[in-house]
Parts: sequence; C-alpha cells; structure tokens
Amino acid sequence: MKKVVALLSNINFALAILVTFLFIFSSYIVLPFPLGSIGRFHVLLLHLPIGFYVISLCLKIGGHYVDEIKQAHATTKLLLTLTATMAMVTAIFGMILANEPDAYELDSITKHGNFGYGFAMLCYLITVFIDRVSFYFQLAFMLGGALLMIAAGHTGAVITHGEGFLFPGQASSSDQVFDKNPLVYNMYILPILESKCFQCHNTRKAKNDLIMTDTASFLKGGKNGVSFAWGLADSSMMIQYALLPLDDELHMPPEGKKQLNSSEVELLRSWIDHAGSFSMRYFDLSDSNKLKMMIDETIGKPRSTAQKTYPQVKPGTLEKLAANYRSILPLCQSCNAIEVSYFLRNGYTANNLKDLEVVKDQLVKLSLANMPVTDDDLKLLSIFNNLEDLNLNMTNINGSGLVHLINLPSLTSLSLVNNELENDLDLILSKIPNLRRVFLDKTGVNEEQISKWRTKYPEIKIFSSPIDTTKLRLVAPTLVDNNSVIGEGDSIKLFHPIKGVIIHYSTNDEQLAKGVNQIYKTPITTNDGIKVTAFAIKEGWYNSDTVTFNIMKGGTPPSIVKLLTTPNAKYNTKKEAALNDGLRASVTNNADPNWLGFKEEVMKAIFSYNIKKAISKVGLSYSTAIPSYIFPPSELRVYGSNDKNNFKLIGSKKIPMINKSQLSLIRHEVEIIDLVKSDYQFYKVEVDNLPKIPNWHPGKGERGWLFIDEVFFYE
Amino acid sequence: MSNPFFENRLSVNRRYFLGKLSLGIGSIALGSLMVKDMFTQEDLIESIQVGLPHFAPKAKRVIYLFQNGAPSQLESFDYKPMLNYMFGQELPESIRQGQRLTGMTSGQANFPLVGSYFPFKQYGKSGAWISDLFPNIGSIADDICIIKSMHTEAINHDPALTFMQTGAQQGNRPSMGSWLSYGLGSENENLPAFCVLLSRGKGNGQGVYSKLWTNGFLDSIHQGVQFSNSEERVLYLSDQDGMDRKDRRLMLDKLNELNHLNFEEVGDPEIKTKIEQYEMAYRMQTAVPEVTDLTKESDATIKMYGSDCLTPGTFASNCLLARKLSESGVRFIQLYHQGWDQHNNLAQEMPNQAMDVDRASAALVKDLKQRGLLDETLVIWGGEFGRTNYCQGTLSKDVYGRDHHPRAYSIWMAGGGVKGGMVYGETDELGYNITQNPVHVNDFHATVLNLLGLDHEKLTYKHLGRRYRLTDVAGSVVKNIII
Repeated sequence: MKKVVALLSNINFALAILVTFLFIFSSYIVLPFPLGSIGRFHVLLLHLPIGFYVISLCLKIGGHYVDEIKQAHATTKLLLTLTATMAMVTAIFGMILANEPDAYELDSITKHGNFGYGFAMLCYLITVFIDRVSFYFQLAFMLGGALLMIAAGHTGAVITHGEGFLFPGQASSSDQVFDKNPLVYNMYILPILESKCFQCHNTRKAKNDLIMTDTASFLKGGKNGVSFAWGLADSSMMIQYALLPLDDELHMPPEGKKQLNSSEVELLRSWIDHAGSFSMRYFDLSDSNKLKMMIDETIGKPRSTAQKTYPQVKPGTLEKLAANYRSILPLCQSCNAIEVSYFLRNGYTANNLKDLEVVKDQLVKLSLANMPVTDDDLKLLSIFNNLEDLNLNMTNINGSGLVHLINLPSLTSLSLVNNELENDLDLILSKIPNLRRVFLDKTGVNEEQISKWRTKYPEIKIFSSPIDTTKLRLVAPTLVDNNSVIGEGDSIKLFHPIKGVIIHYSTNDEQLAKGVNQIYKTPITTNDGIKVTAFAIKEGWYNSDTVTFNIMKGGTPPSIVKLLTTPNAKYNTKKEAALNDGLRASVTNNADPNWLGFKEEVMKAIFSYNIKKAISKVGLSYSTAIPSYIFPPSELRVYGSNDKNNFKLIGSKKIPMINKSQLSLIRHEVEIIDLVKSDYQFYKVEVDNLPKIPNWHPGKGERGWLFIDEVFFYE
Repeated sequence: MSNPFFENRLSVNRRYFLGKLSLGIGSIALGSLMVKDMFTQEDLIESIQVGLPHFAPKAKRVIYLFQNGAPSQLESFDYKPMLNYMFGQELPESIRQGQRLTGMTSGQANFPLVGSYFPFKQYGKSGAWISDLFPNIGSIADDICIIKSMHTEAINHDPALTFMQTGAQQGNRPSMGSWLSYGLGSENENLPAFCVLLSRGKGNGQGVYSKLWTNGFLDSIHQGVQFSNSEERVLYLSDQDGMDRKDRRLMLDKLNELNHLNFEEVGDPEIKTKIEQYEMAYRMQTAVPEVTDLTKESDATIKMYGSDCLTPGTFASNCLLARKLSESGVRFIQLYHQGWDQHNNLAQEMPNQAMDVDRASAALVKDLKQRGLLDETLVIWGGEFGRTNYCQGTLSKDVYGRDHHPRAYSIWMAGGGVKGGMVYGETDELGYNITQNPVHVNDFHATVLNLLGLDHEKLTYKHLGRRYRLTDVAGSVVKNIII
C-alpha cells in the first residue's frame, strides 16, 4: 500500500505543477484539435473527487472516535491521495474545456475555475501535510476543502443549469425589458459583444491587451491602438478588422471562433457613426437618426409603450376604484400608467367617470365603447392630460362634445365608430395637437369629406372604409320554435333575424307555381298539416332562397313503439322514443337526437295502441341530405294486425329516386300514405332505404342512409 | 354509540403524528433551511406575478378561429402549380422519406399527386397566393401574416387538435385560453376570461370535446366557458321561474357562508374557486345578455359579416359575437368550426366550407381594424394539421380527397403585433416538406404568448412535483413575424 501511495504522491507533485502552469497560462495555449475535445470529460470526471473527498472526510472524522476506523488509517491516506490526483486531473480537463471556442459565459467560468483550482491544490496540500499536524488542524483544513468543493460545484452547476437553478421561479436580474428608455449600448450592442468578443477581450485574458468588458478600456483600445472613434466607423480598427477576409490573420473574431454576421457588423458600424456615446438612450435618438431607423427596421423598438414617466399611484387607490362595471389595470407589471375600460351599460354613470380624477396623471387609455356616454360627459375627460387612447365606439354621442377633447395634449388615438356624428370634426382634427389616428367607420361622415380631411391633415391617419356596395344573398326565414308539428289551435310563426326584412310566403302549390304569394304579417293559422313555402327580401340584398316547411298535424300518437331492426349506433340517441314523441329534428343537424339513422338495415317497427284505432293515413317524416349520403326511402309499407302476429298489408308507396341535378339537395320531407279502410290495434311500418347509391354520387354503390324522425298516425 | 368516523380520524391522527414526527419535522427543517420557499408555493407563484403581462404586450386578447378537421393548405394558402402539372404521377419516395401514414391511406397501392381543383390569385402588396375559395380573406391579405410552414407531431385529429390547443397530445393539460387566463387574469370580471363558441359546416366533420377547453391542473376558474347556440347563450345562467335577483343574492350569500365554513375545515382551494364561480355566474347574469345582444348592430356590420351572422350557431354569428366578447375584455375566444375533414369529395365539400367562413373571417379582421382594436387583438385562423399532396382513394378529375399531413400546413394570424402582408415559411414544390423557416406548434405557442407579453419559459405552474409550461420544454419565439 505504501508503495502505491508513494507513487501517487509523485504523480501528484507533477500534476500540481502542471495544473498551476495551466492555471496561469491557459489563455495563451492553443491545443491541437483532437486534444481539445478531451476537455469534455471534465463533466464526467468531476464527480469522482467529490465522492472520494466526502468519504475521506467521513473516515477522518470517524477515525478520531472509532478505533476500527482509525486502524484503516492507510486506506484513508490512499483515498485522500487518490482524491488529490482525481481533483487535479479534473481541473486540467476543465481548463481545456474552458478554452474551447464557443465556451460558456465568461464570468461564471472564471469563478468556477478559481474555485476548482483552489480545491485541487488544497487537496494536494492536505495529502502532503496531513500527518504533520494535529487532528483539529487536519479537520479544519478538510472542512475548508469541503467549502471550496461546494463553491466550485455550485459555480459549475450555474454554468450548465443556468443562474438561479437552485431557486427557480425568480426572474433573473438581467431582465431589462422594462427600462423605459434603455441605453442603446446595453440593449443592442452589448449582447453582440458578449457573445462574439468578450471571450478573449476580458480582464483575465485581455488578448492583445484589449479589454472590452468595461467601456473605458474598450474605448482606449489595445496594443494596436484605439478600437474606434465616435462618428468614424469606417476608419475604426474594430470595424476594419471585422471586415477583413476570414483567412487574414488580423480578421476578428479569429477563424474558428463565433463570427459576426453582416447585420451585426452593420449595426456596430451604425452605432459608432450615430450613437455618439455609450450613454445614448434609445428614445433620445431623433427619428431621422440612421441608427434608430436601422434598429426599428431590423430588431424592433424596445418593448415599452411607456416612454414618459408617470407619478406613482397612491397605494390602495386602484383597489378603491375597482368596480364590477369597469376594469382598472396598470399597463404592465411595473408600469405606473393605467388603462380603464367600462363594460356594463347599467354600471356607467357620468359620476363614476369623475372618480377617475385621482388617476388623472396616470390614465393613458380609456375605453367607453358601448356605454351610454353623452356629449356632456366628454367634458369630464378634459382633465386627463396624459390620455393617449380614447375609445368612444358605439356610444350615444353626436359629436358636439368632442370639442372638450381639444385640451388633451397627449391624445393620439380617437375611435368614434358606430356613432351618428352630426358635427364637423375639423375643429378637433386641427386642435388636438398630437392626434395621429382617428377611426370614423359607420359614423355617417361621407367619403368626400373624409378624403378632404385626409389631404388637409396628412399626419393624421383616418380609418374609414368606403361603403360596401356588393349585394349579398339574405338567409332564408326560419320557423319559430323550429318544431314543425302543430297541435289544435297552434299557429305557424315565421322569423327573420335581420331588421327590415319582408317575408313572402305561400301555402298552396298552385299559387306558388304561378308566383303568387302573400306578405307575412301575422302567424298563419291552420287546422291541418300544411306546406309553407317562404323567402325573404330586403332592399340592397338578393332575395333569400325559398324554403319549404312541411308542417305536420300531431295525429293520434301510438302508445308504444317497438323497433324490429336496429338503427346505426351513431344515430340512435333517443331509440324508438324518437318516432312517437311529436318532435321533429333539424334537417341541417344530422346529430339531432330526434333522428334515427339507418344504413345497414331497413327500418321496421310496430306501433301499438291500447285499443283498436281506425287509422286512415300514415305520415312519414324523413330527411333528404344528398351531400351527407342521406337519401329518401325507396319504398314504404304499412301493415295492420290485431294479434301482433298476423299482419296484413294495408298500404304501400314507392318513392321516385332523385336525379343528378339534386346533388346538393337538403330538405325535410314528408310522405303520406292513405290506408285501405282499417281498424287495428297494431300497425307495422316498414321503410326501405336506398339499396344502392347511383353512379353520379361519390358514394356510388353503397347503401344510402335513411333518416327518420317521426311517424304520424291520423284517424 | 360513538361515531366511528370520528374515532377513525383520531387514531389516524395519532399514528400519523407519531409516524411522521421524526422524519417529517427533521426533513422540513432541513428543507426550509436549504430552499427558502420550498413549502410556500404561493410565494413562488407570486414571484412570477400571475395576472399581469411580464413585459409590455403587443396583443391583449386573442380570437382563435379554429378550423376543425384540418382544411387543405393546398386548396387555400399554399399554391403548388407543380402538383397540377404532375397530376396523377406517383409521389416520389425521395419526398415522402418514410413519412408514416394514417390507416386510411397506408394500404393504398399508389399515391398519385393531385393539384388544387381551384385556381389561385395573388392579393395585396405582398402578392400572397390565395385560392379562389377565399376571396374575402384575399381582400385582407395586407393585414394578415400567412405561415406556410407550420408542422406538428400528431397525424390523427384528436391528438393533433389537443396538441394545438394544450401543447400536449394526451389531453388533461390546460388549454391555451386557460394559460392566458392564468397568466393575464381577466379584464372584465363580469365575463369569463376564456370563452368557447362552436359551429359546424356541412363538410365531413370531426368532434370537439370539452377537454379542449379544460383548465387541466390550473384552478377551474380558468376553464373555458362554452356558449350555446340556443336562446340562452350560457346554459343554466338565467334564474328559474319565480326567483328574482334578490332571492338569488340571498341564496348565494347563504351558500357562500356554508362554503366558507367548509373551506375552513377542509382547506381545499377548489372550494374557493367554486365560490368565485358562483359570484362570476351572478355577475354574468347581467353581462351576458348585454354582450350577446346582436340586435343593435348596424346594417353595415351585418352586411360585412354576411346575412347569416344573426342566426345563432353559424360561424358568422360566432365571429360577430367573438368581436363583441373581445371588445368586452374577454382574453381568449376560441371558435371551432367543424367540417374540414375532406378525405374524399374535396372538390365538392370544400367550397361550402369556405363559403361558411371566408366572409366572416375577413369581416372580423376588418371590423376590429375599423374599431381600432386590431392592434391589440390577435386573430388566428387555421386547423390542426395539413392534408396530403396525393389523392386518397381513386383519383379522377373532379373527385379526389386528401389524407392527414402533419409535416406542413398553413395558418394565418392578424393584428396583435403580427406583421401584416407577410408570407412566412416555404414548402417544397410539391408542398410536402418545409424548406424554409419551419414553425413547430411549440414555437407557435411561444410566439402567441410573447405577443401577449408573456415569457413562455416563465409562465409556469407547479403540479405533480414539477413545473409545467404551455410549451413544455421546447418552443422559441418566431421573432420575424412580430412587428
């Protein structure tokens, strides 16, 4: 064992010299390519010394109190020596890794390197001096080593897992999105330099004596002279070196390192030419400044709507102003600027608009859209001198009160959509100093006037679209309640949702054929099933399609229905109850629970009464929806019986098949069969679905679907 | 006789106390020494400051016009004339590169290419190619950003739809709208921050399920509220016959007392949520009828959206309602329009589908723009994946269909800080693979959150021992489409 320890100690001595050498001169060393990648083993190796060290420490402490452990003194010594070896090897690999191009963030690397080197060296020193000092000195040294190890471990973890990995959820401090007027250098230039230059030109490495990490020494330059001079980008060394061909020795960043792309070079160049100093702030640049234009175009403005500063709101004010009819919110998490929106018509009063006076300096955005605001109320707005955006869409104003807004110095956007404006807006367009956008759609202002204003006030963008003159088709009228089964004394009500529409209807096929119809004014009364054909007309629209409602009389519903075949499971929501509940389905909704859909089987059902009923007619209500593969039945048959076994055919009908021209037909249809004189307790109804879809249909060859919602029986 | 439940609880307490004393308190002490906020999740959440944007947002609200069933990009926004030249030719394996297929076409012997049945035109200053099925969307080409390079991971509707909505394919994660509700809070406390509107076209449809607007592990206050197409837009909201507002208030106050008692005893945060929801429903009783009242809309507005915009349940009426809800401060309005699954008969079905949505979609963008709201409202239009460039089933000149295609599809966005008049991303000449600027669903989510002022990496919620995000562990913001 002693021999091994002695051998290791010698190796350690050599390693210690190597580590120290590397630690001092690492930035001057360029490793040949294949050797460079062995640095990656650092992350693997580093766990060994940690483990070894912890065990050694335990053995050391344990050895002081427990004799058995003390006897293993030699093992402890070996382990400690081995720890030192591993720690130094790890440190060497780490330095190689840190030297890789595109390595990690510099600051944390430096820290991690210092701690790591410190730990490795301390380990080595402990192995050298351990036997010459008292136990408590040993312990102190070893605990110190443990602290160094934790520090090195933590800084290392920061490199791989990112800052704040121990306490996630806390925003990192480098967040500068909310600087209201950020430094151009910090916001746009620093990120480029950080990723492309600082790796070599920092306080530790300082290649060519150039340090770029602090602005003073950056300006001062390095061995070759000044980096740049404000306003003289093209003759500045920094730009010149960046523009040299890649294989030129002086090209920066050097070959093999991360390169600047052309837009970054352009930005740096423009910054030198047009920023003037490190302390230039974005919003202090004039709009015509080329740097600002370049930033706006290629990167985008800093995200901050609040260029101005607003006094802080007194704590508790917002809470006090909050009400269910309006919202009062800061524009963002750390903004003082406030926006207010009103939401409930019956909550809005001129009085509670006055409450907002306490935030008059902070209010930048106010929405009173859809509120019953009057022209008088607008007077109350004249105190909001920081108000930038005012929304008065669809209120009760006619424009006479807008004159109160001319005192608002910050108002840039004004929305007046859906108000019947009577007053000339010339005054407000000319007097509101910073007005840039006005929304005037649906205000009754004519186009001629608007185009005049557009030429007169070119700096104001007036939003108003020409009146849409395209003619569109109206939707068809609908049946109120949408249940086309009527009982005694019911009447038929038609409905159209658009105001000013006139509904024409006809209840007679002959009249309809001649084009004769009536205007719908009052509900249609009828004592029997009826077919109502209707369409809607309105000036400026095309007439609606003609719709037909097959309205059925309820009849005498049988008390029990029993299906002998099973509908398709997808369309079997209500089961047999769908057939005698007096409810019809919607023809446009195949998933309506009142439908029973048959495909694989024909429909067969027995309808039973408690006593014999003399039924003269049977009505079958079904859907025809050709695009959805739903076809009219091909044939239907009705049988009667008094014992539920021996049924006798008492009526049947073949239904003609539709043709290709009806490819898009969707209609709710009714078929009535007259029965031969009958007086039965049980009636069996059989309906065949189309056995084979014709060739002109995409579903050719398949069985057609059959959708039935109700079977009516009439005495 | 003594109460057995009571007894049981007592004994469990004792055992629990003794059992956990040694380990439990020790580890708590150690833990709280090491990690300051380990046991106070509230502090953690507060440090993220839920309820307000992380930075100044571009958009404040979203209207997502989801085209459920996946409309074909090749008949809408991704113009591929090469497919028409190569009509009927086999899809080269060099293009397909082993892409898995659905069970519906994997058995097909060949994969004949088929081009769009409908011609395309260029629109706007950007010269974006848009098919003749969508002339109105063409008319707003300068306001929209078409992304032709969306791609997803799922190949079937449900997982793809769930992925698009929740950032995970399996369901049970919070929906986009819930994340926004959680991250930004509500603007108008009278209405839910997340509303859902459904409509269906006549084309072959796919289902939508309430799991798509679930709050997942977030508080159930963030769940999407589905509006119905019946006269009562939010079901069970109105008072029963014979109950007036005063009675309702009285009932709620008593109920709240009971719930508070229960909360003090049990401490389940879901009870608090329940109380909040009852209160919200009470306020909604006033707000919902006001906001869903479309009778005050002007003729010009009705004409913009089309004459079916006052018929409940149509896409047009949902668009108009979405504008009204958005105007009233609802953060996220999710529309679903069903019927876009054109596996066969595409040439016949798609025009009807397009007719349902084209005018109203464009009208919504125009309407918002006219009202000065487009800047702060993000409108998104698109499906869950694309459709194949080859024909499903037998190919003829007028009859063809397209199967599911996850590798490339098109969506568009408008307003809310997105660059208008832009076409982003490109696919190859056969429209099969992306050749430029791919946008993954995670990237899409990251971008939407960014537009709303939220950092997708910071908007997290701790659940089952780890933090979750809408983008899970991926996604990067597509900066180039942001103004």
